[in-house]
Amino acid sequence: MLSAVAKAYVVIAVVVSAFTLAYLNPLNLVSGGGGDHFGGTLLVTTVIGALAFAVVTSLRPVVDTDLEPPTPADAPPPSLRPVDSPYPATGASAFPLLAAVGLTLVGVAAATGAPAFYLAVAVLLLAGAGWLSQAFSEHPLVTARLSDRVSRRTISPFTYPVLAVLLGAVVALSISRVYLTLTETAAIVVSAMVATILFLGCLVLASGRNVSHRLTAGLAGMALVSVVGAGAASAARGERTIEYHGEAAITEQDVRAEGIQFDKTELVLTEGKIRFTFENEDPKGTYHNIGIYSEKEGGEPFVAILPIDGGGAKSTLIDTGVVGLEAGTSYWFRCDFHPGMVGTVQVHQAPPEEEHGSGSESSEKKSEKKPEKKVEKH
Amino acid sequence: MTMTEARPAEGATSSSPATPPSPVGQAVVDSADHKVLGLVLIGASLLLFLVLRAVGSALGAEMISAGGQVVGDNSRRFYSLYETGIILLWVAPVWMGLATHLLPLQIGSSRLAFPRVQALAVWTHLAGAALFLAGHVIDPPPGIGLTGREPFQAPLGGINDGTNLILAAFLLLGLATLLAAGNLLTTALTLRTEGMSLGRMPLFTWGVVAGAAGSLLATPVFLASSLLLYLDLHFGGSNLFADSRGADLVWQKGLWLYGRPEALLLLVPALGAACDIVATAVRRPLSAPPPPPVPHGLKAKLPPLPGLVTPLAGHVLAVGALFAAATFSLLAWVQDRQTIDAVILPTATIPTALFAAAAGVLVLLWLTTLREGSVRPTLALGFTAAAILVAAAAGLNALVAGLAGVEGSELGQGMIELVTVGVPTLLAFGALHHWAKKLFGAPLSGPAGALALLSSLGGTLAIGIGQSIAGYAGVEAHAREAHGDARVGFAIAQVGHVLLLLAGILIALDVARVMAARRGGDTAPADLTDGVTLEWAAPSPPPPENFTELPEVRSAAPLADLAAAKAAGPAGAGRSASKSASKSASKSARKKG
Amino acid sequence: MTVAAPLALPPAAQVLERTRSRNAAVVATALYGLAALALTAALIGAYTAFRSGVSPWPPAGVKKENYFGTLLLAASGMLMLTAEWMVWAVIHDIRRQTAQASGLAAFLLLAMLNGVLFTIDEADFGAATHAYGAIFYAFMVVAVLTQLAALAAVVVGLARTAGRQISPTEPQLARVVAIVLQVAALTWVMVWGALYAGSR
Repeated sequence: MLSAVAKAYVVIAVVVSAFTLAYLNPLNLVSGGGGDHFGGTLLVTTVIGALAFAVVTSLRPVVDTDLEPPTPADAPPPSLRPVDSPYPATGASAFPLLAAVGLTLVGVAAATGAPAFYLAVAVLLLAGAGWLSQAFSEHPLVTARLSDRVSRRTISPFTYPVLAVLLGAVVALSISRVYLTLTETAAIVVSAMVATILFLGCLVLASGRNVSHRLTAGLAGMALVSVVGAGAASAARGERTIEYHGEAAITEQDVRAEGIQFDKTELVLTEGKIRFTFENEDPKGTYHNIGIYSEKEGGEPFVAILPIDGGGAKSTLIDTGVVGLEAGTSYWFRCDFHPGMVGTVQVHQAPPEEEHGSGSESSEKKSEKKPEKKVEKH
Repeated sequence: MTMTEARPAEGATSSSPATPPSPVGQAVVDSADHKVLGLVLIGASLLLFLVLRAVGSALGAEMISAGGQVVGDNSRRFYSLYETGIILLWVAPVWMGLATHLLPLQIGSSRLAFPRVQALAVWTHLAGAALFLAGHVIDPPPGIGLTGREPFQAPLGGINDGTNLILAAFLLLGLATLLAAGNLLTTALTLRTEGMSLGRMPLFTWGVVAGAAGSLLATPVFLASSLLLYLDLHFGGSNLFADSRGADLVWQKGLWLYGRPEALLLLVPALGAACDIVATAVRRPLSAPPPPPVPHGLKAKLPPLPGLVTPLAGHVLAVGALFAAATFSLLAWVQDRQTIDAVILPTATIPTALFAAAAGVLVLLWLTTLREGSVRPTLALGFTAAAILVAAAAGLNALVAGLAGVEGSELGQGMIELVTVGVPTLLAFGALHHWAKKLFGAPLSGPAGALALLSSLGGTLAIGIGQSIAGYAGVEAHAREAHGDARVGFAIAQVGHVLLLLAGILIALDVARVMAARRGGDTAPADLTDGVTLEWAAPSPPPPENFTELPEVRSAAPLADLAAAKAAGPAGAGRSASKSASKSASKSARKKG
Repeated sequence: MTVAAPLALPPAAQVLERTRSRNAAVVATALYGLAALALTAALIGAYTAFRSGVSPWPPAGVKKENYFGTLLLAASGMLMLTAEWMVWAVIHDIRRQTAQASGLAAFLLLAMLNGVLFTIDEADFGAATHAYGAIFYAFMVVAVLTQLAALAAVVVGLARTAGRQISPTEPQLARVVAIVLQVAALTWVMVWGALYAGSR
């Protein structure tokens, strides 16, 4: 049985159907042909939607569909009455905001690339899990005791191990940044100092003296902040020149083109020998190449891999030196056939013997647009 | 093994059900209170209105300067930001914010159906707005946004970061609209207070219901088209902009702002609000015109057709008109390629003209109601009258342009400013004044409001007429410079931009003043003579649970019924009060049993 | 091992409020589900719009096999039946069958996800290669999103059933889960109709 509102939706469905038929003109009753199918599909969807609304607004006891419930003739005049037991309002929750942050990161990932997308997924999963668990815990059947039991069995066992791993990772990463910046002598001095401090700390703890928790926590916090701060400062300063002994290893760099884009938006190269392996996964007939230039558009060329056809073809380039590229300067790599395929190039410092060698070569090879490189096709 | 747990004593805390914490004192960022969320959205929309009007003023100054001196090479960026933003970041969210705040109050509910989903919708909308703005600031977009008749040319070098952000913003804004529409519609369908059947809902709520139902069908089309656009452009393609009919259709029906139903659908809640403003001004429901005179002999033979033979309730007619308007706006999809070449938008199709007819029925109802009742003049009524004037000007303009066979498409932009932007803007300002006590806790300033009314009316008319003059002079839309009569037209339009900016500043400052004064936490009791619908039974501002007492709902104007009952005599009212109290008490006892 | 009645009865107002909330959840899910199907319908409309203007369609190089698509169609049908079985089991308070139906639904969804991802992997064109590519990937994105939402709904439903928050006296949330499952299944049916049946 349809409610009055549902009947109104049915009328709407009939009106829209009439317009749809007139628009599509299936029997060619109106000269000029029929309308497009996109519009027709949308109109048919509207008809179905109106009918669906009619069904929804007729569901009982979900929706009160009485248009005018009769007022008894002997009913007293209307009056103000207190609201019957105000319902507790929905509790505060930061998870909708967190979910919106996650969605924002998805949008930002559209411009910046994959790392932001993975972060967005993590944030959205966290928001979703938190939101659902909060809604679950607000059910009247969930008592404080049950919440505590669930928390002790499912969340607590993981809390400390996860925090410990995260803390360890942060400390290790920070210390590694510091050691990558310091020279050999400085690294020895710093290691000795850290070892001494650790030894003294353990000595105090092992002596059995009463050390206040606040003092311990404060010192540990200061130490953590110092280590992380030093690591951040070192990372900002950059790595020291790493001395190589013997011949420098060949750096491998793989790049793939698929779907009219490269699989990387940034190349990290080291001055010295490098082996590019470039693969074209687009269909046959779609040519790609890689060229390293000084600008995003135009600019001076430095390295070029010859164009290859699609269908899984590979091209390997062995360069005797990354010609003319200077550490700390921005470069771009791009496909000369498709202007949308671009990315950035970062170059790290080369070992001293390689620096000298590549410097003398750069002046000869810089002027060449198509470098005379050994190109091997597999 | 059987494990039973003893039922604890009343009031025991260790095993008592976990109740959600009180919403009093919630910070804005984690609030689930619909009133807080509505204010956040209204406040953000007002700020963005000021930004967008400033951008529009810069564009106007560009047209009257000696070409290319104000915005220079950024004209594409400014056009995209202004024309797309004024709909997506002002008109849509301000009405979404008003609906979020007021709909539960109007139906006598303590909250929305899903408060946290609404919070997600609000924050997602703000995130989309931020990405939209950031995208325009970072890089120039490839075209003039979603308001160009033709799809914008896919850039040769692939899209820049800014365009990626703008495309992502479209998806977020569409998602927010969808979430809010479903939530508001569900609230209206399921959380009405006792006695409030669907037929007794206030007309603003009906407008929101009709608009939300339409949005649930129209917004997915926008989302689908935005997804296609994103997938194509982000990966370096240009297939959606190739010279093909398919590409044209996807653009025209799925993305082009003036070819989509939303161009007119956003007017439906605004028309509903105007209905409530008029009803409040006369303190009774809307009146319908009397049925036409039918000869007595014929009348006896006809069935009792409402509206023809028997009087039709104005409320019912208004609901029908609102739904008709929403339906006809959805029929924007019937327009074909030829239509987007038409000069006058959005009145270029039969369904759009039918929308105007439905709106005309509502205007007729308002005028009939105002003529028959004793009117309490308010600023909100003034803004409604201004909206009617602007709509009439647009209709006259369309008639003149049609007879004159105008060719310049700037005329279409003028019509957009009048109908799609101007009318809902004026009604939004009117709604802010009308419901100020419930929104902000205290009425807005009368003198500032009057100044804002004159400024916004003058500004809207100036922009519409100015751009129309340029259209009559043969100027194409989004031109870079103008000469002669067209330049005069753009000068008038520029005055309009400045006046609207001034109106926005006045409203925004007034709202800020009232909100700052409210921080004392004072709550005024409800004044039942303020209006006829349930929101006026809440204190000002409403507490977290919205109502402490409610009148019985027996019609579409429960407070008017209450006032009539009180006027009937104190003895009758006292007897009824005690009967209601005992009826309520026995009902509670039955529920607890 | 059995657990007796809940620890404390909530006040009457909260019972009424919760019932209205559950009913509202059914209505809201139905409305959002309709919106999701409208989104898929819009993509179908775009597909027909391009198909009528671009020749050949599908473009050269696009494989025309429909084996996996039809397999997923069968899985969709099974998913629809499983959803209704789950609701029936909840209403009749057969917790074992509720768990079985939920488990089967989760398994079917994982299989469908795997199938869709495999279909994406096997496509030898990109989203920007041609218009067919853009629409194809849009269809797949929508299908994946609806299937992920359905999977999340099944997990939540299972958790709530285990916590007795879905019961014969409060079966509405089971209906909510069922609606999400139906939408995911219907979405693939519509995608299949456009991509596989419609392109012959």
